[in-house]
Amino acid sequence: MNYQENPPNRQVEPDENTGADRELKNLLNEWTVPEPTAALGERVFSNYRSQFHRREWWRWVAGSIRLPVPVAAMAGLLLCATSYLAVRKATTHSVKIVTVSAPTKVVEVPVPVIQERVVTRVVYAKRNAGDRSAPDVPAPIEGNKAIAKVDMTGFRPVSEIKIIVVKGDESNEK
Amino acid sequence: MTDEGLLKRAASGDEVAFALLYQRHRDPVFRFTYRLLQSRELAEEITHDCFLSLIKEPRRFKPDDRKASLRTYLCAAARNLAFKHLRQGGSEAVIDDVTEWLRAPVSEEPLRQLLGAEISEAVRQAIGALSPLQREALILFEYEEMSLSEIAEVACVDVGTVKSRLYRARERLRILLAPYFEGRAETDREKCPI
Repeated sequence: MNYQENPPNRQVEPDENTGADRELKNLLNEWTVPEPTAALGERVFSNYRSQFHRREWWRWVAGSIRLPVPVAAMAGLLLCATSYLAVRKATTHSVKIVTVSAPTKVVEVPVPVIQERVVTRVVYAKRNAGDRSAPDVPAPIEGNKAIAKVDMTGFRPVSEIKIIVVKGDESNEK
Repeated sequence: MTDEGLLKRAASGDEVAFALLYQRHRDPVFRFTYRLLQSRELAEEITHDCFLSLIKEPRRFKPDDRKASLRTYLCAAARNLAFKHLRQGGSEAVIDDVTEWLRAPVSEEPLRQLLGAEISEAVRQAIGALSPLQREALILFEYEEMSLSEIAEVACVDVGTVKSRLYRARERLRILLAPYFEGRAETDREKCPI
């Protein structure tokens, strides 16, 4: 019996079979196969699902996603730009920290206040006998101080002053 | 969608893609395994193992090879599992309950039903009597209508070896089924007197 080599994409051609081959073929076709049970499909899909349920957590660790090249390129550029800006900002912020001066310290320093000393001098003015026009005006008293009013007409300052302190009796002191 | 596309999706958890793959290739794998081992239970078990191993290790299927198709890949996997079972359990295959074959379509005459069942059983036994390698070649050629090169890929042998096995298988079957050849000839003559 000569067998013709069938091409890879075999097509059933009755003419190439001899009569005996056809008869054998018809006999062989009498043997039919039963259908698989429904339990087969259930088992297969049940195990398929359980297999992927176990591996699901691993997918989050080692899984991968597919991105189009333009999207991946844009994402990469965005990441680089963000990283550059972040580094730059961190550098600038560190320089500013260096130049900040130490906080000023407030120290209270007592400053001597020069107070003008007010010296009140009572001047006894010699009164002429005939001059009674000048009323004997008592020195006005302002606060704790007595202020004497003096007529300065014809007053001439002295070029030289010689101060002699004469301690008189208390009766002349007013 | 191609088998490769469906397999990629199924391997990453797409149940719909897996269902499509299963629907496409379940029957050829089951039929081949059933005829090889002549046991529905074993055929289902091997079919189940084939599909799950395909999903576990999808990279073992290399569609870049021009000769490779998912169908031949699955048949090769089923063949390996079936032969492993045959080696473990001895050369005798588990045979289904004969009474299953007595079931026939209700529309046929009782005599025809009986004759059909008898012929079916005789063919099953005759194919069961072949060596596993001859049986494999015959089943893939006559029932699954694979080409010689595809059978060679499944069996991991060259085309010449496949041809040789087919020839010996057919010769053996003609001897075993000779009574039925004569019977069919008489029946055909009755139908067509010319």
